[in-house]
Amino acid sequence: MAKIIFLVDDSATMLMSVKNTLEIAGFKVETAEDGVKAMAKLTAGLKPDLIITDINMPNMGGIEFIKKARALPGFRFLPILTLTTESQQGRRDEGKQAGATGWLVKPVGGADLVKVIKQVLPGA
Amino acid sequence: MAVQSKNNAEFKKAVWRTFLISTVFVLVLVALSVVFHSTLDFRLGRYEEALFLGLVWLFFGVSQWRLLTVVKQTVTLTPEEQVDIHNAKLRYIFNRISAYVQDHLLIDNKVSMDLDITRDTYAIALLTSVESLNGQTASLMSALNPPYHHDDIDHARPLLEDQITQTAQAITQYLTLSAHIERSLQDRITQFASALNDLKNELNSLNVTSADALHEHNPPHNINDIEEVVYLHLSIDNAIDEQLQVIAYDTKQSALLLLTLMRHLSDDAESIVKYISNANEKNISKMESDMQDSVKFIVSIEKFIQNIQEIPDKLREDIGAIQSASSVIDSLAHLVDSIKEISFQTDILAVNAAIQAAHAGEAGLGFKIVADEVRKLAVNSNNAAEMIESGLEKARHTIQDGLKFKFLDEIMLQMNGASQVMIYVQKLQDSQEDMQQYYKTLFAVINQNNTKLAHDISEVLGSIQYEDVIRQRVERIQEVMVMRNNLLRQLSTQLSQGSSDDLIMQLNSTLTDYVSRESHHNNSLQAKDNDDALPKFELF
Amino acid sequence: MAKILVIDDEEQLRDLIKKMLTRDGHQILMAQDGEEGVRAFHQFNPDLIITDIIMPNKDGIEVIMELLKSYPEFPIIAISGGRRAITAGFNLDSAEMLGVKGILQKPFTHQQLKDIIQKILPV
Repeated sequence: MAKIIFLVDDSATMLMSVKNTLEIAGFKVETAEDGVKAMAKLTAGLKPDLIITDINMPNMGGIEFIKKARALPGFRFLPILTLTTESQQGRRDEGKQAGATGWLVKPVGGADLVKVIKQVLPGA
Repeated sequence: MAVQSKNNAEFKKAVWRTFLISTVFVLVLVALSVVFHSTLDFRLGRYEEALFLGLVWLFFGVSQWRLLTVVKQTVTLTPEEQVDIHNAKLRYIFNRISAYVQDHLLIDNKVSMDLDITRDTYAIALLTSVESLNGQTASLMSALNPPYHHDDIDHARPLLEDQITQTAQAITQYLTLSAHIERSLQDRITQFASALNDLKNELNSLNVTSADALHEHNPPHNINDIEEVVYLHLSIDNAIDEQLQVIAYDTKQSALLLLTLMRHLSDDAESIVKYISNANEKNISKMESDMQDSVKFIVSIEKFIQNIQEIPDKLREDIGAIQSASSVIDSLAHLVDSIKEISFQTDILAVNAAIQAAHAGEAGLGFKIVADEVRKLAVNSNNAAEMIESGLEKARHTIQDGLKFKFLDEIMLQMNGASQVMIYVQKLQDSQEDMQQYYKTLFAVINQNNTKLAHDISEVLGSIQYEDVIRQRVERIQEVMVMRNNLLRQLSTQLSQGSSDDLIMQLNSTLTDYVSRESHHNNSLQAKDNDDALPKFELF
Repeated sequence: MAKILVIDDEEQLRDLIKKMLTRDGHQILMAQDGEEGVRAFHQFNPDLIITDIIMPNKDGIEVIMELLKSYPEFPIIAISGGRRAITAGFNLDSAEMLGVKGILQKPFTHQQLKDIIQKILPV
């Protein structure tokens, strides 16, 4: 059974790039353009194996989205990675506190991204 | 100070004027006295004349001097008057700054719109192109998977090439337009840097009084503030310019990277397609003829097997014929024996009868004739028996020989057929092995190269992420430009009231915030390796 | 002076290659099929492998794929004479696509072998 990855980013470029890269590697990918749309999909029943989210998005940013997603039942141990241009320690700490599993700085290309995912998704 | 030196200059001019006028006056007097001397006959001595002239000159000089001090007093302004002049000059400067800001805002708006157009039009075109490229690569890869059809590959490959060309064009357009935007932004920055310098120079030449000197009169604005505003403005432009350099560099480098990765993809796709067509040429035709031979072989082998299966039946038939022939011959042989026995017995009887007849005389003559007749009969039946016997023998041989011949012949034929069949079977095995080997190797190579293609297209997809990084950097520039322009707009309307401290503080914080935020987005292609730099991937 | 592993099921050819390369000053190890070859690789850590393609018990293609998967840059030279419908060209093309550093068609001369080894192995 292919693992499902939920990708949240407001950039069409990022969505296209990461979705296709992951599909080539054999994952199934769902997407959303901001925190609000992402929460809507999760509460409607989407149960991914991994979430990858941007930080700077309109309507609801990544930090808030991570907090809300963690609060959902069954999402306490789900691996959540950020994928963002932000790199500073302060932001990373914010992400860690909100519940992120790891921090990725854009851009992250094909093979590297898949390698990272295999590290956080056992049996992928 | 500036005022004083100006006054000093004026004062010097005034002194020189005084000297000139008094000297001219004296000379006129001398000229007149010369004229009058000849007509009025003044009888003053030489010394008295000189003294008189000297006194007049002195008197005139002193009166000029007195005039000068009066003039000087009027040149010295009251503090209030000074403040008024100061403010008038400042108002002039502020008007110039307002005009500058207005122009600045107009051009910033235009450049901002151009940046948006680049992003929206060409970035999206690039994005769509790469997406199609991904699709074409996927179709080529599925055409390369078993069952593999040469037509699919012939169809997919040129589509991939076309898409690569299109994507390369989209990249070039994106690059050209980006370069154009960056050039105009930089031109703008240079233009306004020099306009600001001119402004600063004008400021200096206007000789506006320092605030310190007018401290007790609390002028509404400070020349230092103006200088600081101008300086901050330039600093923000510099910070933006730095980021523009990064953007220009990143755009070019990421486009080059993208083109290089697409070249890899194209090369790998081309090499696998070439490999397949070569493999086809070199091997398939030989294998195809082997296949056709194999069909023939199989048919022959089948026939052979059929024949072998028929032999037992034929054998049974022949054996049956032999058996039935044998029993007839056996029964006939018995008959012959009996006949032989009868004839032997008959012969003995006839000889006995002849002997008896010889002894009986004339009466036995008739008996002799009978005996002769019996003997003849015996001989005939013996002959007959012999004839039957030899006939039987002949028959037996004929049957046996005939059967033997037919049976052996059949076996011989089949034996020859068998060794031929063995050859055919071996050939079948060989071509089967070859086929297996060929496809095993072919698919191993195709499989591995499919992985390579998948990897190549992943890298292409990855490199396009730079578009997003660059876009965000551009957006941050636009944000800071908007903020700074708002503050400057405020400055140009706020000039008549209050101090500009607050405004300056806001400008300052705009600058420092922008610079520090940019240092946190240190993911340019240009980023130097920094010990302090945090890792690109961190697991919490 | 390198440690070279030669994998070929033809004894005559193995001996021939051994003679050629020993004269050039290399240390030669031999294996007669793919399985033996892979074992010898792990056991003796050669600097270079020369392998035939068509062999019993794991052929050259399998050996190449297995070794290059773990060591993608390991120098391998593929040799082949082809057999029946499988041409040497096909075998050598395939080996090249899989990533071997050199190919040589049988029969080859000592000089050809020497040249190719020199190109691949750093002096």
